[in-house]
Amino acid sequence: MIQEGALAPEFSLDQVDGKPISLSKALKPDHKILLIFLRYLG
Amino acid sequence: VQLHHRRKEIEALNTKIFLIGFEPKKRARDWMKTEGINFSFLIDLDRSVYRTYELKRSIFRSWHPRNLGFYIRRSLRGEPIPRFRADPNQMGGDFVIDRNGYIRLAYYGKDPTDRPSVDMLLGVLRYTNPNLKGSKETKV
Repeated sequence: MIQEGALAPEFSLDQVDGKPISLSKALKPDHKILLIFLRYLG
Repeated sequence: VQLHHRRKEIEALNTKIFLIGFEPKKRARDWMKTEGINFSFLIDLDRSVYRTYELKRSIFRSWHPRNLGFYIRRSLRGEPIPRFRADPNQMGGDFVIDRNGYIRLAYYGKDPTDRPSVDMLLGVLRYTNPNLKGSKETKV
């Protein structure tokens, strides 16, 4: 398991509108990120 | 849904929320429209990011009687039983990443129904100090 304090692994995924986004692009100086892995939709 | 209701509290802590799902874009768009959810939604069809973040799957924990009871109670309340078009044996997970790219919360679901409470997420977000690179001092 990834430990707290570790550097978050980089990723790049498509959004629902088809536009890709990467973690490095999503990181901004003025905000944190909450990543939520869903098991299912519903 | 609980998160959706408290979105303003989370965003007030300068936090951007990303949902990651494993189903096709159209299915995700339909679900967001039905539920009235407009978080950023990322599609991880091949579960590559799921594996990168070391999330696990477990047949035993997924089909444990306690979890089956959860879905039975949910059904009795008139709530829909989830239709697993993805993998019913995968566990969920939640990660808080600070603005420097360090993980401040790594929450691995112990079973399919185990998620951190919104209060717990708010607590971590509130006390995450972006200036502490790689430190665990900000754990709550």
